[in-house]
Amino acid sequence: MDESVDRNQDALPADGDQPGESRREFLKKAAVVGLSLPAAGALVSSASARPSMLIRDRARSRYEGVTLQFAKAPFGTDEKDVIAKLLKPFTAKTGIKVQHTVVPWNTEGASYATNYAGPHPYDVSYQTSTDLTGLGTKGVLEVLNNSKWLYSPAYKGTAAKFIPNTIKKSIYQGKLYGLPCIIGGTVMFYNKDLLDKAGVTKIPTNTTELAAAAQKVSSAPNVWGFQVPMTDKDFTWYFHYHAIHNLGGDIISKMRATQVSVDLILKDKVQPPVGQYDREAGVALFKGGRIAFLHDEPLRLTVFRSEGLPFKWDFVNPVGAPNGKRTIFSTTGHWVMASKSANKAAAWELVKFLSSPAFANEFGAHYGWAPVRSDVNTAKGDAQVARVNKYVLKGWDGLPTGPKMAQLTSVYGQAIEAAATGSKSVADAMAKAQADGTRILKS
Amino acid sequence: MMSTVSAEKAWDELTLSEAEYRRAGARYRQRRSLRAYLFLLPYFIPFIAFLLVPALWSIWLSFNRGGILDPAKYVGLENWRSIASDTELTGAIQNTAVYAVEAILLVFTLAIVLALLLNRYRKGSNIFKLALYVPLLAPAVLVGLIWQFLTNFDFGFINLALDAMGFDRLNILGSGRLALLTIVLAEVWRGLGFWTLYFLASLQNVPEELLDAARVDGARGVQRFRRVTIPLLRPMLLFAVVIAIIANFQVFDTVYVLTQGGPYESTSTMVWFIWKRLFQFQETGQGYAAAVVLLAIILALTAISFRVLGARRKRRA
Amino acid sequence: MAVQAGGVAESDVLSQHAQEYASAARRHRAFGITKGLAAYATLSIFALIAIVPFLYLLSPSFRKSYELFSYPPKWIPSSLYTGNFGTILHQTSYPRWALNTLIFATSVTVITLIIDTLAGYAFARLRFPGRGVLFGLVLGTLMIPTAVLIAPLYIMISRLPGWTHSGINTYPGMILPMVCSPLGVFMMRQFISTLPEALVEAARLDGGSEWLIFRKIVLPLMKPAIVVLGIFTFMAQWVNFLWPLIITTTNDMKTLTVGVSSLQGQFVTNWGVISAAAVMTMAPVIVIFLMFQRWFVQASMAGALKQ
Repeated sequence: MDESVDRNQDALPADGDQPGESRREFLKKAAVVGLSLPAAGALVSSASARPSMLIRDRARSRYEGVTLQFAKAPFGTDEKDVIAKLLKPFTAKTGIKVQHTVVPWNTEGASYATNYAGPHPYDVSYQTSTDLTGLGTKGVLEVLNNSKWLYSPAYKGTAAKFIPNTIKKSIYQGKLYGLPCIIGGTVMFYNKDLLDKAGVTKIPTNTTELAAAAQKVSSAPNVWGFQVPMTDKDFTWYFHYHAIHNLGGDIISKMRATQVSVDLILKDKVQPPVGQYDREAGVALFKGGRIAFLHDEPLRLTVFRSEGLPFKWDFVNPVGAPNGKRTIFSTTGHWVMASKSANKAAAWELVKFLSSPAFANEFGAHYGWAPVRSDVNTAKGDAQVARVNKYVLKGWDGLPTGPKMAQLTSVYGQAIEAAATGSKSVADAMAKAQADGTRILKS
Repeated sequence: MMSTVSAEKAWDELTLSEAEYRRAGARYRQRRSLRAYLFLLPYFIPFIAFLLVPALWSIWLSFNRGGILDPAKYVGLENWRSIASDTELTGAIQNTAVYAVEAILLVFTLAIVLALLLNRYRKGSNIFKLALYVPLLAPAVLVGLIWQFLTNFDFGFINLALDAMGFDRLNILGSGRLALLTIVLAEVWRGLGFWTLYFLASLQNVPEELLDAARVDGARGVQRFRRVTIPLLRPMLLFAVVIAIIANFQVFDTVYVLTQGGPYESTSTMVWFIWKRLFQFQETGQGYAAAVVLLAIILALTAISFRVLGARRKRRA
Repeated sequence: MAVQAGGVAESDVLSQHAQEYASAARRHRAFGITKGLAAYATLSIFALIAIVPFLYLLSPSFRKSYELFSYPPKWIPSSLYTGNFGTILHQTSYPRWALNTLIFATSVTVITLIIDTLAGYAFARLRFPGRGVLFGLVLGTLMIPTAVLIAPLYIMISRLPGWTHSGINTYPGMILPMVCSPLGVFMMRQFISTLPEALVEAARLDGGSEWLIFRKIVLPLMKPAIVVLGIFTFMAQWVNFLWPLIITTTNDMKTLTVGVSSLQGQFVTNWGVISAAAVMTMAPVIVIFLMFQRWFVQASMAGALKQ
């Protein structure tokens, strides 16, 4: 009935269809047994323990003493601890030590631009599709879609488990510079208490309904109906691309989608004026019970839960276009390897592990991310995360990557900001964006 | 007799012929220069390595594509043409100029007034000097946080004050003009202590006798300040203006932590423009070209300051 | 009649004058007091403007982040929440970051003081060809924004010839590129120029070597300038963010400013934690500042910036 249900069923761990993997599973078990036996009775089972220990030693000795440099801009303040915990079995199994650097988001560009210029860059790092190809086309990232890595005989079976679209949208001119690990989806949180008080019973499904519901809530003092980041500094383009996509994806739908967003602020006045609250202030406002609908990323889930918000809340898929599509259209996150890395084989082991269920299940579950592989399940029986996954897998389409992505998305972000602050009409702002975009693509 | 002869001889030996004298002079100058260079060496090794070379390298890269992550490729004036047609750059130059004029005028006016007060009322002035200096100790991240809180719509001090006085609250960081003004105020807040102490030190170098003489001649406070103090302070003012121009045309920290150029590029300054090209868009050539433009602007303004403030000093002297 | 009147009224006139004078003096004094009050009021207002904003950080650092935007705003937390400070102490390497900052800022300061004083002396008191050009060059580099130098500097440090390891994540790699401050040389030159030339000349006539003159005569006189430049350099490096951020990749080499900013995930900003971190970053600086305050104020008053 629903495509996503099918896909979700696919997403359940499909056990044992890979001979290679199951053999490794077996060896792992054997190794554990082998480790525990000497204590129990070395005399009795020394013969059975030895072969498995040998195999284990060979796997280890290949990477013994290797320390990989790993860098990532964090999804949360606890991320370093979360990753350290999840990497323990990896280090135990392979002997590869991982040194993790937290790169702050707001200085990410400078950190990576300099680091990759040096002789010993981070062996493995996390790059969004906006930066991926910019770095990749400069030659600092290893190309992965070849028989050495992704399509190597040993990995071919696993490679087939990636949602094909995520790989396809991350390829630029035939080259894939990173292994997709995260689908960028957004959700709309809502404050149930506020909606009840305002008499809103039906959760809106499209922009028209959203405006009406938000208006009902906004009539109360000091409360706003809706909040979404509207400035380039807060990556407003990231929260608006799906709206264009829903309307058709051309310049006319760009204008129409932007007009809808601008009207919520300037005409309907259900959203605070641009600049009054930035993205973080908007989230804090929601936490304080003063926003009915908050459009943000699912990773807020962990925070909202752990802080225990003082009201009833839930979330839904972002609203669609009136009489139109309701999709999620966004970017991907990737694990990348440095082309200058001195330990590429070990780095590939790490990338593989980061993509595997052993890491991605727990990691995705912690930050509310949807999986990009059919054998990864980030819901773990959590109904809310299961719903995020369902939404994302059902409606996701990818923004194609390219070397000028960061600049182009910024141009679009500036246009939204210009229109939403009232500095320019929607038509003028989009015309300028179109001109700037063309100029950037030509250069 | 003998002693006279030997004395003359000794004198002859001591006296150098003209050629000998010149040679000795050259030797002395050579040794003197060598010694001077030895004094300079410890500074100039890191100076050449860590300032001069990177600076020249940057200028060279403005004529290239890439050069940091990938090998540089000479493209002539392409980067220059790109930034020339970029409307954000013209906006950034304008914003920087408006910002710098406002910030320098405001901070100098306040600092001179406070320095005059501190100079006249010295009892307990240490407390004020210390207090004024504290903002200078705050890292930029912190300045951003503080001003975000100060300008907050709900609980920010500015809006609470407006509310208490019966005015409407302002969407401070949402209005281009006010956002730029916030950058000005944040930088003035940060720099006021430095400039106050600077002008105070300068004032205390003005000889009291001159002021007393002026007082006896019947010059009133304002006149004394204008006719005696200011001319004497002119060299210090020149230094202050030059330093302030250099520092303020490079304004970046507060923009970075507070507004990131927004709303709609109204606080986009030159270094912010450069930063984005270098580190967000990977357009290093354009970034370095804009940096050279900034360098040229600062050089021109410095030259003008010297002409305006320096020349008059000579005439008076 | 006039004489008569004059004779009679002379003392009256005098006393009248005296009275007028006294009241004028009173008025003048009163005016003076008013002026003084106004002056101190002005100074107090600006002192408060400088200090009070820091208090804005204290309140959030003791609250949970969702309490921040409750309406109406509350300034006094309902209960003192110390979890933010706990987070920093337990989840970060705060003591190590503080130590790194101290090592970094102190080393840069010491080296800067040595080389700037030597160079300043040469520019102020020694004659040699190329003096003007070199000094102009030093001043010219003042005009280059730091952001521009970052990438070339990183490349140089990461593969410095002759170094077996790259300079990344090392103290020398962090410290050395920050030591040449054009402003420092300028300050030192200006200050040395104000010292009486006769002292140096006399020592030269007595046959003292330049090094001896510098060490025994010039250096002792430069104490105030050294203190001021030292404090400026130390504070500038204490708050330095960009360079330590770029040149350190391991947690153990981070400085305070870098460490604190790494707490600020762009996606999840926890204002409570960041405010607490800010408070903890400011605290040591304020302590150092207060420890040296007497020196500092005296030094800057001693006319270190004399022209």
